[in-house]
Amino acid sequence: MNLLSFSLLLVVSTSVFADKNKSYKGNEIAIQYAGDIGKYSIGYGKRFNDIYTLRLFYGIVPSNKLQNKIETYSIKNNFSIFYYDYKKLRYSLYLGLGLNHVPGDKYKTNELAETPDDYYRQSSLRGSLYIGHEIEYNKISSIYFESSINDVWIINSINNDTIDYKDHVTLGVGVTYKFE
Amino acid sequence: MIYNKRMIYRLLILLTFIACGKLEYSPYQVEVDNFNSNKVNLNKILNLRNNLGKSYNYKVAVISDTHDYYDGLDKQIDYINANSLQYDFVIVTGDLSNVGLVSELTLSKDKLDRLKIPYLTTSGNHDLLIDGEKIFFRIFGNDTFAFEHQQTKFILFNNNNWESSKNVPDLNFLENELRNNSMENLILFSHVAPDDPDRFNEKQIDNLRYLVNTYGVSYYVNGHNHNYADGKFGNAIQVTAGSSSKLVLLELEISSLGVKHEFIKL
Repeated sequence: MNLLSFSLLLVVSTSVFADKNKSYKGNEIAIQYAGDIGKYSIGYGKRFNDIYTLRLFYGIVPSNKLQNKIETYSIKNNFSIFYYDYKKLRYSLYLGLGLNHVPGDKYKTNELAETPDDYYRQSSLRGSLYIGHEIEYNKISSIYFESSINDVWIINSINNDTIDYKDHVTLGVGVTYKFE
Repeated sequence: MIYNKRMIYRLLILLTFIACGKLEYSPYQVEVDNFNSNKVNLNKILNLRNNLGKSYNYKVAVISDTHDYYDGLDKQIDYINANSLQYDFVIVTGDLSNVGLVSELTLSKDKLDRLKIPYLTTSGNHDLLIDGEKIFFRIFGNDTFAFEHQQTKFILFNNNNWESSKNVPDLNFLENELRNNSMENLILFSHVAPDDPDRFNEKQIDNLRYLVNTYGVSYYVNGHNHNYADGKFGNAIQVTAGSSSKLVLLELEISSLGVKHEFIKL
């Protein structure tokens, strides 16, 4: 899976879930900490309606003594399953489907120079499922936090009775600022 | 109003309850303690009571290709623990992960740490993908080493020639260890089969076969192929341990009469 496939998935996500009568121009920016899409991620998104929000993120994991900086590109599709308005606040509980791409030759394990093509499956793209909470103030800014699990541990917990998915849940927190 | 407040309280409780998890930055992040379990466990093996007399009889269990077959690995570990008095130690011939992630290799180590007896590992090709080589070395330690136990020399070595950053297999290391042997039995352990035609050309296979024959290697044990099997490599008996998904455990019985093997169905 390469960047082209990633882009196609982005187009498919927006085409399937978004309100086609509205513009695709974004109406919010977001900053996220952790959550398997980088230590620090900055995003640009659009709330299409009360149900669906799309956010695109660029994230980094700073280098350490064992590895160089990791860059990540993510698509996050949030589907609000419940929301409640109270004065200027809106609480929203949402489910999410995320895709995270990590560029770099070593992550393209299906295209390694030393091995025959497709000797390994690709590793540069990971999927994730998450559940999140967002509290919005005055339709301008919001704070959210969410628990996510990536495809590796979704599959492993399905295939193995001894694997508890809860042991592999990661937490991310973020803030958004909305504009028109 | 009261209803609204209750609603908010309930939502906050739900929010707190659901929002569990660790703050992780990426599945590919390399942040792992330096456990070096091979060093720790090798010391335990070397401290085992060594029968210095001419008579000896003990067993070694072999696990391989655990990948994401965690249920199968648990069954192998449970069996070994239930029969731990029979075995001196366990050797794992690689592929403890699918793509060398910290989360995969750490979980495999956590499971292997349940063993009541020491275990030693060498790397598999999957363990060395992405940043797996660095992670494997921090968690398990060096994947190429030799040691002696009860009249047998055990040599574990990395032969994942496509994935390793080093030029492997290191035949100089191997020949040096084979030449400097005073034990009655010689057993080699690697992940990939020595005669894998996809990875090794005829000359490389012949070179290894020459060493095996010249120095009288008794057994060559490997993983990589998930089906357990036995055969010959040169004059040595070659055994493929099979993956944990096959619910079989390879057992080597080593005695003054020589080495023999058995696949135990779990």
